[in-house]
Amino acid sequence: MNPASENNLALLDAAVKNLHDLLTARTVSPEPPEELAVIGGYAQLYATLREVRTAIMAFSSGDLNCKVMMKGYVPGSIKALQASLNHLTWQTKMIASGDFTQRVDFMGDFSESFNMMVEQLDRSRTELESMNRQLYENNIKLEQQAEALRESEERLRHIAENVSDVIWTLDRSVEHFTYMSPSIAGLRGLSVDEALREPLDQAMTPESLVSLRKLLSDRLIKTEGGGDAGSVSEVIEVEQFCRDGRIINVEVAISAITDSDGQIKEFVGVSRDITARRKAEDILKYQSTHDSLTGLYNRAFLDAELELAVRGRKFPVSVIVADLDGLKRVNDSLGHEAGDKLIKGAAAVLLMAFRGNDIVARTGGDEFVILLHEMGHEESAIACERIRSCLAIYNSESGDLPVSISLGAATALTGDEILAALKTADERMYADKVQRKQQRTD
Amino acid sequence: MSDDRKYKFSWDLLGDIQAGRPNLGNTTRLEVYRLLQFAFRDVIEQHVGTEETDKIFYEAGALAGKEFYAHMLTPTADLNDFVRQLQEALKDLGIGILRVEKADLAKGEIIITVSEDLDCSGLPELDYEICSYDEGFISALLECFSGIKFIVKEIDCWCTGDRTCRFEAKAVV
Repeated sequence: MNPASENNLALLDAAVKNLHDLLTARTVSPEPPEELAVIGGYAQLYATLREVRTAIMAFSSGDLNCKVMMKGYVPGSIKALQASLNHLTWQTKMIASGDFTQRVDFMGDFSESFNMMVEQLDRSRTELESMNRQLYENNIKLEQQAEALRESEERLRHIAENVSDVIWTLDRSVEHFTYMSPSIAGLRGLSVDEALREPLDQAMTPESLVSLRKLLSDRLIKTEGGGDAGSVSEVIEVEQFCRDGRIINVEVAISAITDSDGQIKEFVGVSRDITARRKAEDILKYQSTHDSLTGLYNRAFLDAELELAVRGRKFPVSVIVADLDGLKRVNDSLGHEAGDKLIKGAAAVLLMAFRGNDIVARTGGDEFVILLHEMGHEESAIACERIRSCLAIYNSESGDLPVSISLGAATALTGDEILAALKTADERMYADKVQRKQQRTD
Repeated sequence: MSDDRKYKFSWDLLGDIQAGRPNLGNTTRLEVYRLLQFAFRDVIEQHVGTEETDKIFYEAGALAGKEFYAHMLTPTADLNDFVRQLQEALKDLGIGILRVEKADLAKGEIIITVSEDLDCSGLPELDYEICSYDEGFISALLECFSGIKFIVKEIDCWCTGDRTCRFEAKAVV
C-alpha cells in the first residue's frame, strides 16, 4: 500500500472513531478534529449530527423548547416528535383546565392509554360534578332547614320569654332544670339563674315532689319498656315555694323530649300559677256543700253522705233530726234578721255539741240533721243529751233570744235502714216537739 | 379599488355542489388542487415576481381564513373550543391535522403545526417554505377568533425537509 492510501485509511479510521464518539461519548467537541477538515463535507456532517445529538439529548432530559434549525428527513422527524410532544403538553394543560375532549391519535399505544385516562377522568369529573351538585343542593336544603330551625327557635324563644306561664326543661335524672323561662320571676320571685341552680327537691313541697317524681319515673319506665313516651302531655298539680315564703298552687303540664330511639332525653314542662283558681274552686266547692247562713253542711251534701252511708260498711249509723222551735214566730214578730240570728244560734249549739268529723247539716229553714257514723242508740242518746246541755249553756250566755230545739234520733244497723232511720228520727223529733209544747202549756 | 369588481369573493361562489355534481360529489384528487395552485403561482410570479406572489397567496389565504371562520366555525371566546372546532373542521375537510404546540394569548404567541398539509405534504425538497397561503389562512383565523391581528410565519415545512409544517404566530402590538 502506498503512503497516500495508508494516509487515507488513517483519516477514515479517525473519522469513523470521531463519528462513533459523537454517538456514544458523554461529551464531544463542538468542532471535528482539524485533521478531518480535509475530508470534504465532513465538518457539515459533524455539525448536523451534533445538532441531532443535542436535540435528542435535550428532549430526553425534558427540554422540549430546544430549537432544531437543521433541515432534512431525520431532523424533520425529530421536529415532528418535538411537535407531537409539545402538542401533548398543550393537550395536558387543556385537560387540566377542564377540557376533557382532548384526544391523542398520533402516538400509537400511548394514544390509547392516554385517551382511556382522559375518558376516565371525564367520567370521574362528571360523577364528581354530580356529587357536587347533590352536595350543593343538600347544602342549600340544610341551610334552609337551619334557617327554618333558627327561626323556629327564635319564635319559640320569643314565646317562651313572653308568656306568663313558665316553660322549663328538666334532665332525665330528674335533678336539675336545664332551661327556665324568665317568667319564673313572676311565678316564684326567682331569677332564671337561681331557678336553674335550685335542686328539684327544694322547689316544691315534699308531697308534691313525691307526686312529680312518681309521674316522671313512670314515664321513664314506660319508655324503657318500649312504650311511646312521645309528646303526650300529663298534667299534675304541685305546691311550690316562693321567695317570699308563700306556697302557691301550680299546674304543670309535662311531656318528654325523646331521641331517635324513642328514649327520653329531657322532660319539658309548662308551669302555671293556679292559686287563685284553686281558691275560687275551693270557695265554689264550699258553697256547693255548705249553708251560707250557718256554715253547716247543706242538704245536697247530706244527701250525698246518706247515699254513701247506704252503700257503706261501717255500722251502726245514727241520725238525729233537730228542729228549731218558734222560728216562724220570731220571723213574724221580730223580723227575719232575728230569725236568722236564731238559726245561727241553733247552728252554734250543734257545732258545740259535735266532733269535727260528724256531719251536721241544715236541711231546711228550721231543720237540721246530724249523721253519726259508727254510733248506735246509746251514743245517739248521749249526743242528744249533749245537744241539750250545749243549748242550756248557749241560752245562759246569750239570753235575749233563747234557742229551743226539738230532737229525734234513730239508728240504722245496715244501709237499707238508713232512710227509715231518718224518717223515724223525724217522727221522734215531732213527738219531742209536741211533748215539750204540751209541757209548756201545762 | 372599486367594489364593483369582477372577481370579488363570495361564499356563494363555492356553489351548490350537491346540485352541480350529483355523481362526482364534493371531492376531487389532491393533485388537481395542487395543479391549480402551482399553476397560479407560476403565472403570477411571472407577472409580479416572487415576493408579490407570496404576498398575494398570503392575502388570499387570509381572505379564505376569514370566510372559513365565518361559515365553518361557531364563534366562541374560549381558545380550547376554537382550537377543537378548527381541528375537527380541518381534519373533516382533509386540509390537515392541526396541533397546538404553544398558545399564550396573553403574550400573543402561538405555535401550531399542520401535518399532512394540503399544500405541501409530499412535495419535493425545495429549500424554501411554500405554505404562504396557509400562513394567511391561519392569521385570519386567529384574528377572527381573538380580534387581534397576527403575523404568521412558517418556520418548518415539508418542502424544507421537515415532516410537518410549523407556524409561528405573533400578535401585532
